[in-house]
Amino acid sequence: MRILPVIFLLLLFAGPVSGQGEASGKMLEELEVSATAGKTETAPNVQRLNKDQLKALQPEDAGQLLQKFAGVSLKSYGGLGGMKTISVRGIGGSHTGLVVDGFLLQNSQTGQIDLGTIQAENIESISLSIGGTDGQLLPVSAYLGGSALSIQTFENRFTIDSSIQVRATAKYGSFGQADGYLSLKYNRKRFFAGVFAKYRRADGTYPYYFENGIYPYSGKRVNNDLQERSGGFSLGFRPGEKTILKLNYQLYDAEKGLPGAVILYNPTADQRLNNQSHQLNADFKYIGSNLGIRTYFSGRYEDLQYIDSSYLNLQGFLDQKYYNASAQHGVSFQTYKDLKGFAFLAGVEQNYSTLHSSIADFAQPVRYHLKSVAGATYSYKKILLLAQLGQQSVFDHNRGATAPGDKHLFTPYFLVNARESWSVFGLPRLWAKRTFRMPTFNELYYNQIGNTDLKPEIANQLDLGTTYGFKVRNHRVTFSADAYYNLVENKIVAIPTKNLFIWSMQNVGLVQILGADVQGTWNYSFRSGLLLDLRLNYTFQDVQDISDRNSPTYGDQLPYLPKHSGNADLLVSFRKSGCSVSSFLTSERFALNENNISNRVAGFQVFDASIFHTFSWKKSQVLRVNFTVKNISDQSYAFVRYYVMPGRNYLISLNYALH
Amino acid sequence: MRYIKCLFPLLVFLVFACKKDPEPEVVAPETLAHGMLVLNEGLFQLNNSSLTWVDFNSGGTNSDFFTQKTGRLLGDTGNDMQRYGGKIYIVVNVSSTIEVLNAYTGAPITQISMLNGSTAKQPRSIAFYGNKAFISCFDGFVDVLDTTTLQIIQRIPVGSNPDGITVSNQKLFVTNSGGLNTPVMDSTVSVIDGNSLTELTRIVVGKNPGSIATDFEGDVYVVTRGNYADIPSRLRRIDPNTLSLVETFPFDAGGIARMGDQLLISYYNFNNETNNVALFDAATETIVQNSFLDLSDVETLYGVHYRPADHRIYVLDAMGFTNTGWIHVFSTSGAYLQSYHVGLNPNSILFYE
Repeated sequence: MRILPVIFLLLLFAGPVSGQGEASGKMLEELEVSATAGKTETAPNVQRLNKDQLKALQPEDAGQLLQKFAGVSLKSYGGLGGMKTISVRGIGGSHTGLVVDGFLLQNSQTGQIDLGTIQAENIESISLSIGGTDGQLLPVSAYLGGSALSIQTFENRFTIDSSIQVRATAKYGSFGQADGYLSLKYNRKRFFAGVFAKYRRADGTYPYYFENGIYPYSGKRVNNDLQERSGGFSLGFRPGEKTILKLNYQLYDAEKGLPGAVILYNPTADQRLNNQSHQLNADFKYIGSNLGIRTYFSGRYEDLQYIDSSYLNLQGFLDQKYYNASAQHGVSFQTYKDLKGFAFLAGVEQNYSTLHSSIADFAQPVRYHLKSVAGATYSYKKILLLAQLGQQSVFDHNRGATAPGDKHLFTPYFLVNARESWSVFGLPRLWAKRTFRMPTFNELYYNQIGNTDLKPEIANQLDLGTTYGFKVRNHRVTFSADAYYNLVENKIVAIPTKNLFIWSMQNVGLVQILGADVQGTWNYSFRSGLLLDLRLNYTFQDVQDISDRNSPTYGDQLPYLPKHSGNADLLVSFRKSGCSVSSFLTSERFALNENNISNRVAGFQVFDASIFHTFSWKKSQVLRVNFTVKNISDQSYAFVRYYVMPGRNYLISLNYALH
Repeated sequence: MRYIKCLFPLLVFLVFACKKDPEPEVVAPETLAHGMLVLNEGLFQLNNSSLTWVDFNSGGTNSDFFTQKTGRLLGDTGNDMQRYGGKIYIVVNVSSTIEVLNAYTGAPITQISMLNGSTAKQPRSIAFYGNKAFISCFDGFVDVLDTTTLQIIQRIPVGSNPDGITVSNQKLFVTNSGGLNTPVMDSTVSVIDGNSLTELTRIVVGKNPGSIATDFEGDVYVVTRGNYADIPSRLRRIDPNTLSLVETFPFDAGGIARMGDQLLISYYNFNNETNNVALFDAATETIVQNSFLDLSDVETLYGVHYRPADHRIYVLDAMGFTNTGWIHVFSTSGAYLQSYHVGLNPNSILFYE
């Protein structure tokens, strides 16, 4: 085993550590964080993973964390670097907004950000809100989505517990994986500045095995390597007690092989994807005691290069480039003062996006998308009522060619939520929300696959649920259950046909979803230092295609959505050491619309486990050593048919923090 | 008591999914008779190409025929299936193999790997002349297979992305589609001498040639598919003696199937999703009937086959390409008779009497 890189990285970390250790006695949380505390009444369905849970899981990327949430169906196309997309409560992934540090990340070409490209080392908290969105003064887009995934990173926040903070991670794992991440942040009362860099690589040539009829079929995933670099900076100013100004930038650059599905009898794979993105965010916030105002700007530029070096055209290869640019600017407003039980929020946002390609005859689409939201809450004794209305107008243009017509849509959201426990009913909630997503540029224009007649996909959600929690001595138990009925109109379904990057559009039409999410947590802390943390999730979803009574797929479960899925995570720690075990389970799925035997994709259950020990010096420095075994039972499984996932694999990680 | 409280919010959901009745499945017979073997193409990257055995006596089907005979899966994207002598040859495009089965029993004989180093040759179609099989490969070659030794003995370079292949006048006619060069595409038919195994000439026929077939008198008919936009598809005729394009017919075409001294010209219109089968007289070279069959119940026409033994026409329906297909049977007078449920994207049939 090549242990040298690990030692090298360890030495690297030793540098900035020495001489530090002056901890500020006063812990000053960031303003926006304190404002959020205890105010999740408007977002009744929030699932969150905190710092300790994240450390125990040692995720490779944000995508891996998503299988820890109820209601989420994850699609993963392989090991490290494999694309990961989600569906929340049977509704397509484009209905889920991705909000990092209060800024929306979006891609108008594909409609979804590959969650496998969102690094996990710097995540301090991750939450999934379904219906109402958790957080204050969010981008308008985040209020108008069906669900939102919110990530708070280390880099982009005020934490004035010491002047210099350091985070560093080194990982070394199976299949040639090596990661290094280093982040430095300088904190002052009115100012912070941070820089970070990350490098990740993997050979990815993992062995696979499955049964081909009665014979074993095994091989190694080839062309599955990954090289990834990212870096950026963050700045924050607090000119006055009530104002915050922030600016951050992130560069992401990756080159990777696309191994494709395992094709029987044909081991060749020559497709590659290069991807670079720049994201610049800036915002200004005023948070008074009565009201808050935020104005924000995000700009994103992304280029994608797809190469097939054995493509059988005259050139003998395929090299396609796509350039996707988008900008977003908006203003959010919110009241904090209790105005006879009323509180208000409002916002307006404009989005601009374009796509260019190196392909001859490719469309040159431009989209201008205007969004606005207005809402009010009324609190009366034990209940809270919320009514919110969104209005969106979309103007699509395609230089000199057919473009979809203008779209104008209204989307309401209503919530009745308990503010205090209703005895045996816990904290019940009832909400209904209507949202939509626009067809992506690929769906509208991609060569012969695209269709400019596509309508926005509309999702209607109705949820009835409750949360119940109690504390007995050292035990803290929470229980949450929701039943939901969703109706998706004009559903746009994409199924990968030729390869990962080229999808074919199917307009399934009408989809009816009947589902339930059940979550339970149990937390036990004993004075001796023993800590137990158990999380259980179960999801049931019946996602039926009800578009055409005469179709052979009427009433069939939609592709790649399991009826049953769940996970269990147990974390046990005693003072500075601990271990965690987690399991993920999914029932069978179907690769195509028709629910027959030949489309069946087997269900699976995988187990991961890790042990860790923490070393600390001078109370301000912590080094955590983690050893993780993933897929302990060496199960051969796949989220997507013939995208066989890695068998048993190992990961050693070192996390250093200077507080 | 406090613990009991927390049980109340537990919501229990019991949902009984209604299962559809399974189709009648027959066992794969020991010897193949009075039925048909259907090649189902499947979909890209799903390794779900399959063979369906349809028993004409019972009307039952078995879509697991290949796996039951060989113990393994057929692979990805079976493009063509032909019988020659005592063997069945299945051309599997994405898996890049030729599967050879015993034509009387369906028992496996061999699997021929069609890889060229680390590049897949992507075989598309197969035709036979003498003791050789000629396989068009998307990498720009026609591979010559000795049908006795089952070895590839030669690669003959042709145009780009050769697709259909037919035999006439001791020659092979191969359509060079150039489909992977969209929007440029190829527009030629390569002519290979069946004895010297060399390319004699390339005949310019029109953009994106695909299906190709030989009629009862040796005339070669080819479909040029155009660019699916402003250049329409056309049926064209090649003289096998002068090796030249002699006629272009002013109607849309997709596939060609021989029915005695007539041809069935099938066409699926992608734009308005309509299907048509026209009856063409190969002797007079004129259309007999424009809309020969009532295809109102066919969703996606994926080809037609004529079975001389019962004088019936078998119409392949790909059902929007993502649902399992059907074969609809019509009489030669155009009357609908019956249907068989087969696998995903049926494209070829071998009849057993």
